[in-house]
Amino acid sequence: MRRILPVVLFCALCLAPAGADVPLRVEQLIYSIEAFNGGDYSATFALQTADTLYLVAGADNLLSVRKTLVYWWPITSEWKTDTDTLNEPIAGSLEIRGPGSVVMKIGLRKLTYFSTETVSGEQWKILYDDEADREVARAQKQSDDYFAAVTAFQKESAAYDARVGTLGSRIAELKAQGNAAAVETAELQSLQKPVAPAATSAYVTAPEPAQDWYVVNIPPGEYTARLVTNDGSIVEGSDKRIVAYSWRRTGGIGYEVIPSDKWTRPEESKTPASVLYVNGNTDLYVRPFSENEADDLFYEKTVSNQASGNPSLFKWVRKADVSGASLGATRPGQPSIEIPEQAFAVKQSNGSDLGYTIAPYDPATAAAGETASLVAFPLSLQKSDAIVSFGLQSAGRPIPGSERQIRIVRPVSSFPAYSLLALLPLAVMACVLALRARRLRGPRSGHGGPR
Amino acid sequence: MRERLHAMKVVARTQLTESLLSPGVYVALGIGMGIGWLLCAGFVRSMDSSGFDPRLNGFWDFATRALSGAFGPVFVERMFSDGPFLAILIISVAPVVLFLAIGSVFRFGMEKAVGAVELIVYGPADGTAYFLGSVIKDAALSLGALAVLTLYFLLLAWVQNLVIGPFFFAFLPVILLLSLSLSAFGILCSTIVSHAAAALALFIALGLLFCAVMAGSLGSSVSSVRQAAQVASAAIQWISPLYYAAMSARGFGGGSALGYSSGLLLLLILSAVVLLASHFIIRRRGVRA
Repeated sequence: MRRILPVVLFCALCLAPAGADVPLRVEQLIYSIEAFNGGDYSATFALQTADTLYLVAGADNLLSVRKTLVYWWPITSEWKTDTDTLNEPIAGSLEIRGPGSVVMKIGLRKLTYFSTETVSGEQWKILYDDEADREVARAQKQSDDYFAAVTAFQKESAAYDARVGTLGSRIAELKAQGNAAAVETAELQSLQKPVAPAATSAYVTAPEPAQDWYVVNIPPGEYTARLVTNDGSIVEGSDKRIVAYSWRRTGGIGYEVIPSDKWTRPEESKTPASVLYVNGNTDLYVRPFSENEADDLFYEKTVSNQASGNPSLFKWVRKADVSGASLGATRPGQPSIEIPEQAFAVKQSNGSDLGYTIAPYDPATAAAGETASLVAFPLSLQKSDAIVSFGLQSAGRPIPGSERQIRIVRPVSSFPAYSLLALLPLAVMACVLALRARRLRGPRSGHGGPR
Repeated sequence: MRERLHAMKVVARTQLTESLLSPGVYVALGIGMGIGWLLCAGFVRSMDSSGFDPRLNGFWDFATRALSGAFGPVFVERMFSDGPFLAILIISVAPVVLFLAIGSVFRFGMEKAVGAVELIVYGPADGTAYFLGSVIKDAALSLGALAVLTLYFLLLAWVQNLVIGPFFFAFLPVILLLSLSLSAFGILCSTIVSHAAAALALFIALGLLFCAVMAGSLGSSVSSVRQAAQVASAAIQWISPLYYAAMSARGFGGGSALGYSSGLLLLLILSAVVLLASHFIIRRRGVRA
């Protein structure tokens, strides 16, 4: 018994943590944040332990304070919220103190936000109160109408398929009996295939039912924020620091570069000085985008308050796709060619052979429901192309900052002759030492030394 | 003053000749060029259809992972934004700059120990002229090494169809002034302590401290090293040449000519201040070991 007891205890200890795989929920007062990130809104939240919120200055950022449950999710190494169990918004006003003891009191506003596609890219809009409700109703009606049309289409398609099947069987039957099937054939030919309703939504991101938010739009600087309830008391744990920052540089042009053999692994070129080095084995597809430059830490914390970043470095961040431009490409000694933006369909290779085929997308010949996978500027490369320069043009004029260079590197042999040049200093050293030794020997032999 | 200038020139010329007649500089430069070639060849071999893929080369894979882990992916992105040659230059020039700085520290300490400096000081030169001559020698050799490395990299770039970006050229004066300030700190260490080995140890310790503060201050926000380094750097960064070099690089990267030139100017001022401190110490303590 004495021998068995330690073994049993050991097994029990080993099994003890096995039941603890459900994350522990903790009630916290959090800030829910819909932070404007330059081109989009990022949904994030600040834990009670997080001391700072990072927001883009001069833009509408949406904040709300609520009690909820949070838990650590080890798979993605981040904190998550359990709003299904507890989600209790705290009403009041957000008191923000800025530089020079300026105090702003921001009340809750009922609003909705959504984005639409415009000529200059995705455009975000915030609507308040009744206007928000009207927009939500409009979006809902549009969605309902579309789904009603889809349902009708599905019914019509089913009826069409059934009728085609019946007529086909009937024609086959009549032909098998040696009879004419002129009436059935004529009906079959006259049948109209139902057309699927076009998914024409005015929204890129549709509005959701209006909610209460604190709209924070503040100039650059450091602020402190706290929540004051309607009875004038300060909500414990609501004190935060807000860093409102502005972009260091705006209006940059970056490119997403997609090689045809690795279209799932695009590269990005963010500054005009950056050169794209490739081996020239495949064609490239480039997609331009506008970009802004921000502090790495500030931006990362805007997108996700739990993220980390480097406060010493700045990074270019994608804002929106550039549309309505053409690409001018030049090879040395050849005139510039203008490349229009084109749509492509990406098809995965069949069978065991892995890879993709990128072919021009033609809506007329595309399969039903097939849409373009990629809209980009194609750049065909050959091994003989040493340098290909390209840049965007709008109305025949080059767009500043959009110039880039592609260089096809020459393969390096295992031990090229020019690598020996690295030994040049040693060769010079040998010459210098030899000359010096010779010079030192010379006078000694001439004078013969003291006797 | 005129005598000191003359003595400084003579000491610099003599030490330069001695350095050129000994194998150390050539070996350091050869190592730098060899490293440069290996890294450049590794970069070219890491090229695939979508560009630079460090996973295709052992060194670059390790280096980019280590840098990305320590300083974040943006650091690596910025480092390679206009090609590989900035990283290659920094790695290649390190053996030369370190050899020159360590050589000067050790030599000054040794010459003090054997009474050679004392002997010179009995003549027309003084201790300040002697160490200024040594700094000029280091600056001249650094300039020469940078010129040789730049020419070699231009050749490599031409052969492999690579391009040397503007960041590389902007960094050349930064490295030159960094080398100058390292020499100045070397001299300061030699004047503070009597023995050559102790001076060398102090110089290495100081260099490591500057590197640690720099690495910590560049680290990503979650790093505990960074938090400790932030506290340390508040006091130390003002005397660290790496801080001003980083300021210059940040200025150039952000398109700020003022930031770039301020970093260079402050690097120069720091060297001058350190040399001035060495001047007062050597005047007070003399050149006897």
